[in-house]
Amino acid sequence: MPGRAAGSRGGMMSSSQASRARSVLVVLLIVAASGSVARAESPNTDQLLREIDDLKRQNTEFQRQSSENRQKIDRLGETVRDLQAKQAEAPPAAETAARDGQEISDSAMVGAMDRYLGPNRFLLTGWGSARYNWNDAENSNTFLATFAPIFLYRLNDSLMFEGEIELELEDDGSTEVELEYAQIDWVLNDYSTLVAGKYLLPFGEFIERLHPAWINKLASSPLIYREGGGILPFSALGAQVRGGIDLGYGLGTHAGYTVYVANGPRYESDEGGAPFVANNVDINRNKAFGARLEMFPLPLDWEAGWLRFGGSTYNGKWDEAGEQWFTSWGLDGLYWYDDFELRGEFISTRRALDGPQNDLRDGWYLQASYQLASLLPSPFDRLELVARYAEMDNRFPQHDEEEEEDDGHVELARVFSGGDESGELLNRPREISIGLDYWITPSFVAKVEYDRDIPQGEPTNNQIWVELALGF
Amino acid sequence: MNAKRLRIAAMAGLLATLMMAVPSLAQDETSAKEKRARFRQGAQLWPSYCGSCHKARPGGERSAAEWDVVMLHMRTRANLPASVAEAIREYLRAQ
Repeated sequence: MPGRAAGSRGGMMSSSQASRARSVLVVLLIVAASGSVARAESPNTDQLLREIDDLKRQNTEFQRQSSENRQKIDRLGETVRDLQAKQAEAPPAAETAARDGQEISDSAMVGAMDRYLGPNRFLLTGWGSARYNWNDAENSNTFLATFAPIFLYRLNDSLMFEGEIELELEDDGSTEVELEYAQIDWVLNDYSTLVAGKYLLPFGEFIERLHPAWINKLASSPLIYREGGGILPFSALGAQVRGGIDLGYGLGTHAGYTVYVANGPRYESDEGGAPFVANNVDINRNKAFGARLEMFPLPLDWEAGWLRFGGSTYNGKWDEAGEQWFTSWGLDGLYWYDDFELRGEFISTRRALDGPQNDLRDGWYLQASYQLASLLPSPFDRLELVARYAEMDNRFPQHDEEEEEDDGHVELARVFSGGDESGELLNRPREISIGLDYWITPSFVAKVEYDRDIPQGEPTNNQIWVELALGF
Repeated sequence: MNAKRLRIAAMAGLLATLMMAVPSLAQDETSAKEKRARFRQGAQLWPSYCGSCHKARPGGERSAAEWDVVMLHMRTRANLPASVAEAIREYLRAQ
């Protein structure tokens, strides 16, 4: 068919033409593919650049937001401070409610009390003891009890009130209540504190620091501090300035001082040998003055133990006319190394009397103790052995009813049984005490004590003490 | 180049933030160091100062606020220098 033939001729290529056409097609495909690859690479770079730009914008935005947030926080801080200031100036809710005649809710009252008292600013502490005493000479065999609450109120870091009441059972069935001390402590600076009120006499170490039963390692007190026959009054009314100063050449070295003014000493009578009584309202227009200085010279890093020594003095007019002097001085010391402790005090007093003779009293004690911690296994390592020797020497003019005279002086002294005056007058009392303590906790101790009284020129006596004492 | 600038900017921002934080961090660190030093000193002083009169009572016996009260009392009673009282208080409060 011609048409088909013509068409066939016209539509059909030769093999060389077909080959050229395939070559062109391949080239075109390669070119097309290359263009496609090139087009694909170009958009990726642009996209990365766009992302970087986006990140930059985001970073800028974050910085702006951060700045705004900081400003908001500052504004909120100022608002909180303003509110706190307003709250501090505003009366407590309970007071406002009371003023407005509204009923005070429990929670408002509790909140008001919390604001008034502060957290744990008031602290009830103190000590108590239960004792048993057997006294050969007095033929007594009795239980005793003491309760001594101490009230501490801390207003802030520099102001405090503290007071102690001691309640003791008496022979006649009554309970003796005594205000041991009631004082305000005002810290003036790092080195001095002003104390005012009724305070324990800052003389030696026993009165201020060792007399509570949970601290005293023996159930009885040294002769010079026994109630009614002590060589010094236990407390005074007045004011003190006291404090401590670092000595600066090693950890733990410091000096402590106390200077004070007080109403002064007062006696039960004008006679020599009379006991002290409280001078609550000064009997004369003079004031007594005292001072104490103590040193802690051994640095802790020397590991040579703990040493303290001190000196005290207390002087004032004791009579109503304000003419007769009472003077006193004393030395005390402590050495403590590991489980061993040695401490002692010496006190000398002079009370001027009408006439040529004065009332002269002095006395001392030395006490050693050793905790058996390094010798015995638990629980016996809590045992502590204590030994004390004490004596007094009292010289004052003979009373009319007293018969012994020795060169114008009568050497007399009262021996007191465990703090209770026996009334028996003896020459120069001396006492040896041996005790064994068991420390159940650092503030709870069980004590057993044997006392051998060996007064000069008088019959001897034996006593046994058993005591449980707790500091709380 | 832009990425490099971005990194430099980020580093500069970080450095500036650290510089702003350094004074308060240093202050906190000094305070913490002082407290630690006081604590260590208190641990050394507590057995001797407290134990020379009575058996030294452990810090766990009382709360931190109660030790504040007790140590103000003992500072007066025992004529303690302020530094000694503060070190022992720090030690007892931390028990």
